[in-house]
Parts: sequence; structure tokens; C-alpha cells
Amino acid sequence: MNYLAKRLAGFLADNSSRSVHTDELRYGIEIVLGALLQIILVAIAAVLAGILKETITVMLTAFLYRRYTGGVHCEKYYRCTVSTIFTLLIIGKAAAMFTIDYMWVSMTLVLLLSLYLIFTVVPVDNPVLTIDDPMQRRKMKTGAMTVLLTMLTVSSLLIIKFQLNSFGTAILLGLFWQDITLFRPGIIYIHAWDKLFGTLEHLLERR
Amino acid sequence: MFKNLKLWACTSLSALLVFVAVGGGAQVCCPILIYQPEPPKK
Repeated sequence: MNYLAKRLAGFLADNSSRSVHTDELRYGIEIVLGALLQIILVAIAAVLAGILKETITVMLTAFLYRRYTGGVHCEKYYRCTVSTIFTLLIIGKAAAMFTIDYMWVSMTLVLLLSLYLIFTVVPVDNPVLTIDDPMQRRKMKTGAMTVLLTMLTVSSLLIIKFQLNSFGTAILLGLFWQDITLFRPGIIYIHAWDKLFGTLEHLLERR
Repeated sequence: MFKNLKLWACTSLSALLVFVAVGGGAQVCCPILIYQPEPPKK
């Protein structure tokens, strides 16, 4: 992905009428192309598994919420892609299979956990890209809170008013998954993927 | 004609991608990806 982005950035910079910072272009391309490729791969895997609606709902919810909360990262793009597809399919399947009997209890638990995390750790810094400006940190907290409350309202409306249980559950699980990536269990989970792939890479190199 | 079109397309796309990179809110982390590309050198 990095190589492709560098080549594309060079091409665009050479053919642009304005002078542009090639490395900024490369970064923008990596974000956009990387995200597009992942969305397409997740959608294909979800269609094959027969859980497209639920998986896309989980992904969009987590995406909106993550925009403000931050979260743990994988070390390499392919590791992130594989772990994202695997995780979203499991959560999508759970949303399709289970109906929440104790909806208010589940919602309250997600709300309390999310509020605790928003007040204590959000925005979760990225090791290579930290946010030091207190004003910006406050903005991220407010954004996370707004997304959380909006998504919980939408989820309860979908379940109660429209009887769309799987969508409502998918939103709730999307919020919960994103919460998990903000503290220790999520960090352990993502690092376990990194470790697994690191071991596989090591074994392949030795052969 | 084709040259002008290519110039226009590349310039617009570059502007959009630079906006995503520096002004589009990718400051904390990439929203969908749980992978962080190397940030641009200042």
C-alpha cells in the first residue's frame, strides 16, 4: 500500500498545476485507498457470509465513533485488514443471530462504559500522532459524546419503533467493539493479531 | 484537450487528498483502519 501510494503521489504531483507536498499526498492516498480497499473486502466477505446489512452497520457505527475516540492500531496494513474482516464478520454474525432480550440493560451498560471511557481516555492517542492541544481534546470528547448518544437513540428507535432488531443490535455492538479498542482488552486483542502475523512472517522468512 | 483534462483532474484530486491528509480529521487515527500510515514529514 505504501509503495503504491508513493507511486501515485509522484504521478499526481508531476501532473498537477499547483505545487503540492508529495508526502502529504502519499499520506492522503494511503488513508483513502486503504479505507476503500478494506470496505470492499469487508463487503465481499460479508456478502459471502450472508450478513452484509449487519456487518456494514457495525462498520459504519464503529467508523463514526472512532473518528472522535481514536483507538489501538495494528503495525501493518495487511494485518489490520485481516483482523478487521475477521472481527467485523464475527460481530455482524452475532448481530444477525442474537436478539437482545434485555435491551435496556445492554444499552445502559454500553452507555455507562462509553461515558466512562469518554471522560477518562478519549481521545486515545496514536503513538505516532499525539494530540497535545487541550481544546482539540475537548472537541474530540464532545464529538464522541454526540455520536454515542445519537447512535444509541437510533438503535433504540430501530428496535422499538421499527422492530429492526438486527440493525439496532449491530449499532450497539459497533459501539461496544469501538469501546473495547480504547482500553486494555482491545490493545491485547490487536497486539495478539500483530504477534500472530509477526510469528508467521518470521517462520516464512526462515524457510 | 486531453492534456488539460488530465491537468485539471490531477490538480483537483491532489487538492482533495492533501485536504484528507492535513485538514480532513485524520489527526488522531484513521477512522476505519486500525492501521496508521506513516504521517507526512513536515
